[in-house]
Amino acid sequence: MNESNYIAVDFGAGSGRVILGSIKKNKIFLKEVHRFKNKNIVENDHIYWDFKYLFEELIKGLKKIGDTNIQNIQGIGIDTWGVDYGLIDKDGELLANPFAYRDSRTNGIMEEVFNIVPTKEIYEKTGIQFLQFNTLYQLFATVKYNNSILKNADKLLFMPDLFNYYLAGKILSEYTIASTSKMLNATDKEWEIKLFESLSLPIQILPNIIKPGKVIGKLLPEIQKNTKLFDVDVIAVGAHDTASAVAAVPSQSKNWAYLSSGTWSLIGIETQEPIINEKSYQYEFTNEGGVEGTNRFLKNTMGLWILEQSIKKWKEGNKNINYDTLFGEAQKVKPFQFIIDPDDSSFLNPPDMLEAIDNYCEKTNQKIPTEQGEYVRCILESLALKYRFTIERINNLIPNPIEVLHIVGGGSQNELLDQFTSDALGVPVVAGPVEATAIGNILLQAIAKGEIGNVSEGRKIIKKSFHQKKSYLVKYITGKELIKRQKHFLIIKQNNSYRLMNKEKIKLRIEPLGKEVQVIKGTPLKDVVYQYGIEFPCGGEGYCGGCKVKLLSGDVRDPEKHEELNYKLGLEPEYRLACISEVNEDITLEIPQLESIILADNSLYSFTPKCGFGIAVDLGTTTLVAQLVDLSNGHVMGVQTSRNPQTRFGSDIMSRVMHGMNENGREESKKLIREEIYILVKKLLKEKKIELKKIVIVGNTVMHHLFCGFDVTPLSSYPFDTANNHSVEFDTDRLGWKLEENIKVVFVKPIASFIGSDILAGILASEMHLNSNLTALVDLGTNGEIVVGNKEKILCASTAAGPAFEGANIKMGMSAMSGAIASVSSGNGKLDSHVIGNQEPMGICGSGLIDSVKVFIQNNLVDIGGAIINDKDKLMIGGNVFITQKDIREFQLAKAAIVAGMQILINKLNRNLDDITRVYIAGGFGNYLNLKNVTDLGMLEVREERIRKLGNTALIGAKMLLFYDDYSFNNILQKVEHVSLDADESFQDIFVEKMFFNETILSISK
Amino acid sequence: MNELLEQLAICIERGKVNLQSPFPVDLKGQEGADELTKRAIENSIPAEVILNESLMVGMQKVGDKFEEGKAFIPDMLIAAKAMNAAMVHLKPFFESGEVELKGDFIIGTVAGDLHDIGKNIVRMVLTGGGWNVIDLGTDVKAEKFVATLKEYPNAFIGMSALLTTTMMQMEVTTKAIKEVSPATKVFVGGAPLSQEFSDRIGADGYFPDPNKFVKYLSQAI
Repeated sequence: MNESNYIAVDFGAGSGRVILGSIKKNKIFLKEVHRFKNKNIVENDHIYWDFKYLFEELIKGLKKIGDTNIQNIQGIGIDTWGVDYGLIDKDGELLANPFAYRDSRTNGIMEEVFNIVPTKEIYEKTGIQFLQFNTLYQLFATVKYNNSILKNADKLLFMPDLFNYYLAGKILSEYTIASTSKMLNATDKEWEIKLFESLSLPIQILPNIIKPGKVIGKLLPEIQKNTKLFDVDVIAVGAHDTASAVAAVPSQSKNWAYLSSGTWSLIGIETQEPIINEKSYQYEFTNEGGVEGTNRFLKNTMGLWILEQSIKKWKEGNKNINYDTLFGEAQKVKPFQFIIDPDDSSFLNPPDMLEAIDNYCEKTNQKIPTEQGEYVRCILESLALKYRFTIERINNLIPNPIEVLHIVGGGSQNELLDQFTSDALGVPVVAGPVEATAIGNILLQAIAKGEIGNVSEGRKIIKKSFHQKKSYLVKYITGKELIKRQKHFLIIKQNNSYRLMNKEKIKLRIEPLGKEVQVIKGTPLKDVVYQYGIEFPCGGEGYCGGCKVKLLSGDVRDPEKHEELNYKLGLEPEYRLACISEVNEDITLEIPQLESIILADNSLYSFTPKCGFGIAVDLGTTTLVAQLVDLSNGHVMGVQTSRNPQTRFGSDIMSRVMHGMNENGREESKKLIREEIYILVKKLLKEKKIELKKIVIVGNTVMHHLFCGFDVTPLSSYPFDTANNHSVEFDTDRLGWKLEENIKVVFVKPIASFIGSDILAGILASEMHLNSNLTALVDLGTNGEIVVGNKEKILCASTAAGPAFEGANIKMGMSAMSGAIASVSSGNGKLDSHVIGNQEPMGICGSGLIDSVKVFIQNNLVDIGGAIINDKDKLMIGGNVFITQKDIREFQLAKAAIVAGMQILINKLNRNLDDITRVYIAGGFGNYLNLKNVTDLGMLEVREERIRKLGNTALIGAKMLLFYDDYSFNNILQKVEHVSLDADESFQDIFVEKMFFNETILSISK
Repeated sequence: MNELLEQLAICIERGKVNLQSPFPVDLKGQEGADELTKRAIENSIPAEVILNESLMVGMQKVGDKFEEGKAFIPDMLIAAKAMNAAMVHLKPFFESGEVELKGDFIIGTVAGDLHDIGKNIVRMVLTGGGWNVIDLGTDVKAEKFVATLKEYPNAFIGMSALLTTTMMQMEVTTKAIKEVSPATKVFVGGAPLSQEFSDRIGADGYFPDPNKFVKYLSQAI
């Protein structure tokens, strides 16, 4: 037998191939027989793989081979991407198309799993890092959303297992693919049953595991007939494509690392045992199964995507791209002029990659590339430096440093990158083979059939069979230069670090806003960043990581504490949790939330990317907020805020109505607000060459009418009927805004006469209109709005609850700004209060009022009826700040209004408060709010764990509205009904009853 | 004074509704306005005496505190609730004519205004003060006041407004009333109001708190 043949089938997320591999005279030869596209199908808002289609293409490929007279076909091996799976029932039927990993049903699932099993415990067992599409989370989501399919499921088969089952009829799970699931114990290589039990996942659906390099069985008779391939074995190969690729690394030495180079870079080492420790966790390395019982210790980082996208951009500009010229020019460019972090989120999916590079360089005070060669140099050098960064981390974890790097896959053909990588690493780089995955696939088949003894023997054959190019270190990079450049990935040096005259003050720079603020040394970071919309979901306890900020330069007080927490939370070392940070020296921060604020909450929601940019405006009675949004990815590119200029006519809404009731006042109000918004828009667009498509404004009904120039008289008294409850579109011309003509400006319609589009936006942000469970939204702004509902029906009401929480009617009340006591607690018989801005207290804001009432009751200074004991006229809190009996009574009125409002809405829905599964608190007010105190005081009569702070829901909703085309909202509005609490007979009874506190508060822990 | 009536007055003042109500804390487990009124009637104390010597006294006291800034809306509301509990038992005596009332009083919030907490407090203070209160509720149009006045020709009229935008309705309503009955006294109340406003619209008086008003009325007759 002088030639044997093997069929390698390699499915990728973008395409699939059937390759014929021949082993002849101790060499391997490849021939591509069939190539086909793979793509997702979308049904009912879910993303699937089309299994039947893929299997048909596989059969087509096999038929092509069966139709030739190639003899001695020994086997078929399948490899695919990781994590995805299908479920089959007892009759062996596939129950549904497999979900694609990109499907959004796993949004928020990781957190739910972590609530049951801590992250660290999962990592310690499985060795796998945390991606929301790991099979474990997919399965947990399936249990959560679609239990019926799982009830009918007999077995779970990963993608390659599913093809193997359809080919050979055997239900088995290949080890390397199973290892990507995060359901396998990395050390004993068996299913992690305990994890399944803890998460109540069905253990019986897990098939037996087969190791790569073993025969599964013969092709089923009907497939033999159909393909004319007789007596061919289906063989378990390294069914995870990366496992096959690593198997094909032609290594000859001991201390080598591999880089599987393509759109992405997978960089790692082959080890005998998994590496699972604090550092590996912190560095985000994962442990996947390899062939021959090895472990693949690796990290997934950015690859040639940035280059591909840049070239695509040049091609769009009809520029002819000659690759030789391109790389030739790049070689001539002076080194290290422009360095980017390839893993920066701005390169993930920008509309224009070249612009993303420009922005990054500008942001980091570097020169901006202009020539194509300069861009290429920038990208390749940056990738090479990032490879070094990763390899150094690996070196930190292993006894002997890496001596050679093998680059396999398509990217290995980029000789310039190979050279740069070698230079950056200071070790030789061996590039090739390009077709590592198919070769590894064939190698394992040949091992299974006994033709090749083991992987090591196979690697020698591979080395002989395929071209490899070795690059050696060229000394264009000095040690000093290298270290300097490399630091870039940890810390971007602040160029301008001048010290202030006053030593007590320090400077804080916030990126990507480019804002610089001066604060007093020792100020909690929380006080600074909350003004930029940062939320503290866990209430400043430091356990959720929701308020993480990235340090670009400088550090906060007590970095050790942060490093420990970062490890626990799985954050990169350069992150700091704003909620527990104190500023001690000049620092530059990047606030990732500003880019992802549209996704700031856990609830599922989607938008369809569009091109261009939009501006979302929340037009509040007191404050204006505008954000510039990249419509291609939802990122926030800038924020501007200002005070509503109409406040000169009075701070409350009725005074605005009064002012607008005559023609002159109306005209004046309209002009002022239009001008103010135009100023914000101009500031957002300043020096940005972007294509603005749309401006969406939300606000209460009075703001809507005043902006649009409608008569507000109907809004002055009951029944507040206005004929103008519609969305209004403006030309920029009509508004007197000097912007492009085709920019659409929309003021979104109010829900009802006294419920504005700010609440409509809040409903969208909370997604209560999509949920079958009841959700409540409580907005404690100037008017306290309460919305309760689900996808069937939504009721909303406004109460007079708000002003007390904004400091109105409270003796020393103020809004949550510098000098306000924002939280109060007691311990050892003394009060502890936190003042925003870490300065002398000037007053108290809503959250401080709530905390102090709770503390005073628990310390028997105020009784549960709300009376100050011993007739004192005031209670001191901190500094000269105190609260009076009247303040407590105001709080009681506000609290009673919320509770009674909520109760009446729930009564009208014929449901119980306990049916509300989620309560969202909207508004900046929420930041310092202590939810335990809120429930203990009975402000919300729901369980604490059901309450979430959602932030500025009007703004979140306004951003979502940027992606809408139709602003009529008939679907939502027909569900929404406004309830007038004053008109409800039971309101006053419930209201009076709810003014007081529950006795149980005295026995609750402080 | 009868100890029972004294105790009942305290219940009204402090808003102790009944035995079950947990407030005020120091009266917990004791009988409230509900039980004490019932017992007073069983002890054959005349309804008029209960009203004048107990309920009115309690209401007066909390009203005084409100006037002094030592009691607040919640205190008034809970006192009113206790008052309500007592009035349930006294109502038959008023209806039978056994108790002579001080007069009729028509009350309501003006057209376009739904805020009635203040109006309700005034209603209770008036009731406790021995007035026959005809409560027209919220969003009351001028015509409704006028029509009710025809039924109770000697009544006083009080109206409230909480919004700066609705207080303008008071002028319309006052004019309508004075047009059909110039002698009828019209009083106005509500957070945004003032005596100057009252003068300007031709009303007969503005009172910042219910207690002052009841005292004024008692002297007026």
